[in-house]
Amino acid sequence: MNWFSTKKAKAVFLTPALLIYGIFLIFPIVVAAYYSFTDFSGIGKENLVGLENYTRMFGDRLFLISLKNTALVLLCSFFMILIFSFFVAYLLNKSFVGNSVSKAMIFSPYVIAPIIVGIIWGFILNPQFGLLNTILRSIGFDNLAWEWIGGKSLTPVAIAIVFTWQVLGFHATIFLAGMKTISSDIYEAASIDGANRRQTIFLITIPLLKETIIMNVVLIITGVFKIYELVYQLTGGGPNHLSEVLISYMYYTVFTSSRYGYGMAIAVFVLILSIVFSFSYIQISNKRNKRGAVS
Amino acid sequence: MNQKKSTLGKIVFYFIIISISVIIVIPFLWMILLSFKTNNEIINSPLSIPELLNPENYKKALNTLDLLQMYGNTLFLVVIAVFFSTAFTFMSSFAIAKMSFKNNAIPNGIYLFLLLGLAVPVYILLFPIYRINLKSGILGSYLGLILPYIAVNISFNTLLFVGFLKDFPSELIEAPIMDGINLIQLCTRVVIPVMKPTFVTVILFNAIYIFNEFPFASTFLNDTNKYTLSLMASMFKGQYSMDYGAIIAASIMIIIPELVFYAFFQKYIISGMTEGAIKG
Amino acid sequence: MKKKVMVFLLTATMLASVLAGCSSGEKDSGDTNKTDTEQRDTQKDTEDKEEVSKGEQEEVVITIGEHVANIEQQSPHVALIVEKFQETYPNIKIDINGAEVEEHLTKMKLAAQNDNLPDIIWLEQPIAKEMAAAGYLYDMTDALNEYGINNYFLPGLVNSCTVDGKDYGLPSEIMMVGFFYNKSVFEENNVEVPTTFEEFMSVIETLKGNGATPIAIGAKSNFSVWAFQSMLTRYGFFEKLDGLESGEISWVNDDFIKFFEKVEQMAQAGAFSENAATIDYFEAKEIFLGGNAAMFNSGAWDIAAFEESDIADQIGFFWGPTFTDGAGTQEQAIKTSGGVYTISQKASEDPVKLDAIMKFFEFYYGETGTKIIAEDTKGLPTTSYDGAVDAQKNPVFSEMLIRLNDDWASVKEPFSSLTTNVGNTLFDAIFGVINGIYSPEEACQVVEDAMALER
Repeated sequence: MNWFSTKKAKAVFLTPALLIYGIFLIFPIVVAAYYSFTDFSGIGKENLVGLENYTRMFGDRLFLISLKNTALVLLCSFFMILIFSFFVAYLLNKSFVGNSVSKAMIFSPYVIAPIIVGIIWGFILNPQFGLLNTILRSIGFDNLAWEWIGGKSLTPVAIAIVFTWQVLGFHATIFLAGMKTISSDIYEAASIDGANRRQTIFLITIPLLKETIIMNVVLIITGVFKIYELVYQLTGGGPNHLSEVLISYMYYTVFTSSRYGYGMAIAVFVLILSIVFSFSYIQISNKRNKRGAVS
Repeated sequence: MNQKKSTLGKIVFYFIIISISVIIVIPFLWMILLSFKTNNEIINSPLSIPELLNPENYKKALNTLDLLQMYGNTLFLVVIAVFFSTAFTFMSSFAIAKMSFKNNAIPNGIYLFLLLGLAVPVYILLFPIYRINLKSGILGSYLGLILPYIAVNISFNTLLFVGFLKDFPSELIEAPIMDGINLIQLCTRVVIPVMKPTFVTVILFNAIYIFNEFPFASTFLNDTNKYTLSLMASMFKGQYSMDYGAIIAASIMIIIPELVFYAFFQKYIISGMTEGAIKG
Repeated sequence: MKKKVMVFLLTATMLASVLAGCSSGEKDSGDTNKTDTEQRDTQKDTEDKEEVSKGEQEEVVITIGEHVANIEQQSPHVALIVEKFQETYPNIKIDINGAEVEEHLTKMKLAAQNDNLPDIIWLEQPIAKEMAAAGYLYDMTDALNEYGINNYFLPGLVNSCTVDGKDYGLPSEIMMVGFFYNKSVFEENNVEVPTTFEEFMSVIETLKGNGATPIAIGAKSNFSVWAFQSMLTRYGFFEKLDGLESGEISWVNDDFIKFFEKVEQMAQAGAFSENAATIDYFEAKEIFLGGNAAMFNSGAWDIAAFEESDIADQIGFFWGPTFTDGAGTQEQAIKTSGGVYTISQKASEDPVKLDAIMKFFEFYYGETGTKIIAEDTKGLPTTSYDGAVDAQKNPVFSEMLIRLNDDWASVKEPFSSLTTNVGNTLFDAIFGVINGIYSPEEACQVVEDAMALER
């Protein structure tokens, strides 16, 4: 592979992406980080205030609520999404009549704009006139007709469920793409050796999908940290900011309350948190790879 | 015995798959039902089946929106942005995953660097990019949207391309050296065909992202004639009024072509996927 | 082959971006086709008419930034006035663009920072004041006097947006708020329109006892607490404002605590829709219009929606309850301006453009504009209007017009006199008590904390 790794080739191949990325993503982050050290309101001049925004964050009751809620959503949705999407991809990997229709149906939620997802599920989860509770009441399960949204504590769980619904097909598709690169020879060899289904899945499929799993884990974590439209549409962050997640609270701070500097501090914090979580996972998995893998 | 097991197995299998698909689709059906109700009915009598299929919401949506124009605008953006984001990221990912560097830390570092974008909430980018666009004179133009779209998609594309390229068999790359081909031909004739599933996935997800992208489009576009589909809800919001029924009807009119397109598209590439999986 | 394709695509993109760049320089107006043809026609007429006006031969273009995306449908009076104005002054072209309120305000904040504001900008008052303080807006005090625009306004609408005694904004609409009520629901439950808070509470209790929802309200729209703001003014808000700003007076004071206690009383008596936390203002409105709530707190902007509804001739209006333990005048109500139209500092530096802009405002607030607002679009004008109103055809409109001119004193909206941060915290505080999350003292404290940041 050395023959094409010339300096010129590397430059040509790497530059376009790095250039656009540098200007439109990295540079703005640096600018935002700068503002996180100021008291900028969005209009007028800013004054540097050092770490004041960051220290205020951890004393801000509403921020801590949004942090707690985000953690709850992550906890609830992470395993749900990972395991369920793997399971669905496994089923879809088999050829059967109606395979493409199923694929289309399962994938369809991902196609809808998040704001519309929020509107539809708002009409489903509304405790008074939503579809779910109306059905529950009509079949006599009144005591199960909880306050899915708009109450004091269940909203993060509801967000996790709606988020799972939305991205299931997305993650399943990624697993599927990974599964398709495993050639059928390996499965043939395994069945000749007498491996049963469970052994095939756990000893062959999953190890061979290491990279795909890493991908999905990183995407789920970063995805949860970025949730905004769902919360905005389902509860507006309410009542009284009790159901805020990190980004919806940041949005409130920047756009509604006009505290741009403070909002950028929150955004930078989310960025760092998200990166730390996902990168640690990547590093850990890579170390495991190096130790035990036979590529 | 074996036949019984496999028939039972088949029934269970179909049952599971069908249940999952149907449950996932229920919210859509609910949405379609809502689209035939007036705003009053949606709030005050949500479960009632409208006696007539009241097409008023659809009429309102069609009257207010120039759907054809919005579709055209969006498609234009999608085609250009997706092409370049896919192409550029493939190139950089190939360099990272397959080219050799003096120090292994360099490609790994670039890889992690390019992944940072995944963690970025886009609202953080709004103000700075606005200024960049304004100063370079592209504010309000499509270029001012295309470039940020490419930038934002680079991370996801890198994740996928590098991930799948790492597993790409080296023999396939080494072998053609004997035939004396150059780098570009290597990519186009050897690598890309085998990577088709990945390409399809990347293109599909980039396209969906741009179709539904809202913050950039709403902030950087000024001319209503340039509006994309994702901004349609704003056309139904007054300061003191919101036409839920029309928004739902418009959403359905936008989603159905997307789903039909996806259904066809993925049927067409099924063959591509299975081709690519075969090892030489 | 691939190379050729790439080259073609690259060229296509460059072409496209050049074209796109060009067309972003052009400014298309919201209702292009209509106005273009009319402009061409009226231009021919002008050459015959020979109107005398300053700079008549020069063409001036005024840009306007509005707070709705669909101007014909959501601000029809603006669309009409813009059209008629261009007919009257054919050398002045208006290029009007808009976006949904939140998007619009974000864009305008960005634009201000980058010296890219339109000439006339609709803004919410707190933001307008911040921009004025930062030097982005034009001080129109003298210009208003010169063009005699102040003469048109109803009392309470002059000096709509002042910073240090200078005028920076003109009222874009009447903010006249209170409680709308469903007359037939009141009749069915044998209750009458209340005046004092005690009467108000007994109305609520009777309604609740009979299973009706007294007040429809949507907590997701944190701004929908207008009538409560009126109530706050009856506890001396404006008298305390200077003290609050300087820190002499804290938000945690007896009067304000009493105010929140009243809200708490209402909440505990079940005055609000059960699902208030999950619905927004628009849904609450639908509940009221569907006959499923007795009262709805809102303002003059809803007149058109109410008159189109099924219960149009059953909708009445009252200013909200007065308080025996209140502070200051009790018979006062918010009859002020909501959003304001401002002029960018940059636009004012071109005298020809400034003259055109002032002519536009003269037209808007003068007789022609007022007539268009009141008659063609059934909105309540901010200026004096004494045309005939058909009480049968437009019951809500005529009632509101009468109330607007009644003898209750007019006050401004508290939100407009606070910064965006404190204002939004006040909204949160009120809803906090409505939702049963804050006690009255906590509600005061929350706003006090926010205000402390500003001092």
